[in-house]
Amino acid sequence: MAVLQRSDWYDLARSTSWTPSYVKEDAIFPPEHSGGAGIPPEKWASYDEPF
Amino acid sequence: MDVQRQKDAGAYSVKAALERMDLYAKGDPGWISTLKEHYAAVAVVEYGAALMEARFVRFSKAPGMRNMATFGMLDETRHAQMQLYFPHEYIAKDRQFDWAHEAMRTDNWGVVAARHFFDDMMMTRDVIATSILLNFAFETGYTNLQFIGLASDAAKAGDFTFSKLIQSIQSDEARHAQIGTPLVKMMIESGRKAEAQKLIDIAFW
Repeated sequence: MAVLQRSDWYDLARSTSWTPSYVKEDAIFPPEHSGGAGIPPEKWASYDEPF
Repeated sequence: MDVQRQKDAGAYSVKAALERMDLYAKGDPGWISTLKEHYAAVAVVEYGAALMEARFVRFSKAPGMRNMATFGMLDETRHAQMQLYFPHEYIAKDRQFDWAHEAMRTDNWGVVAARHFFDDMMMTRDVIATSILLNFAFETGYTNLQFIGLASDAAKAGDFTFSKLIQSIQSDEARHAQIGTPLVKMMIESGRKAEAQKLIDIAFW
């Protein structure tokens, strides 16, 4: 089986967030642990590590 | 992973090759003191940084940051292990090298200040604040320069084992230190520039 190049799968590996159905977002990411108050939720998907 | 394995192979083989050099007996006493101080201040703190990265893996809202923190956790564990293993060679010659493991458990006044700083920066705040304090301000702003300068000092002192070790560590650090940079950008774009600046000021000063 051919091995994929990293560039082929990299963006997929960064797409691991989901909309929770059974609990609120704050239960998964408590503000006192996760921080980021004032940063809109949709902004988190735009986090782009430079390397 | 293969790159990391190669880095380990490089650092450990230089150590093995130079073990007979007897740096402890022949090296500059000032350099030997610097080595003791470095290992005491850094080795266990690297393990603390692994715990910090683990918090990022769990609590960061950014998937890319969670991925990078997973690798950062591996990096810091590697650094902790290397910086405990490398000074171990000198324990039989000079007991003070046991400070690599012991220092952070003592109430030495210098250590108390360092422990207070790292506990505050790494352990007590939320993921975003911690990443800006540590990854951005401390790792990128300070250790990136300090470790490379230290590697050069080591080479001048004839300690090529340590020089290789520090360069190897910094190649990991230079990568995961960049975890904080996108956060600063996001905070500015979200109108939180003053907060980001304050965090950088706290870490730097």
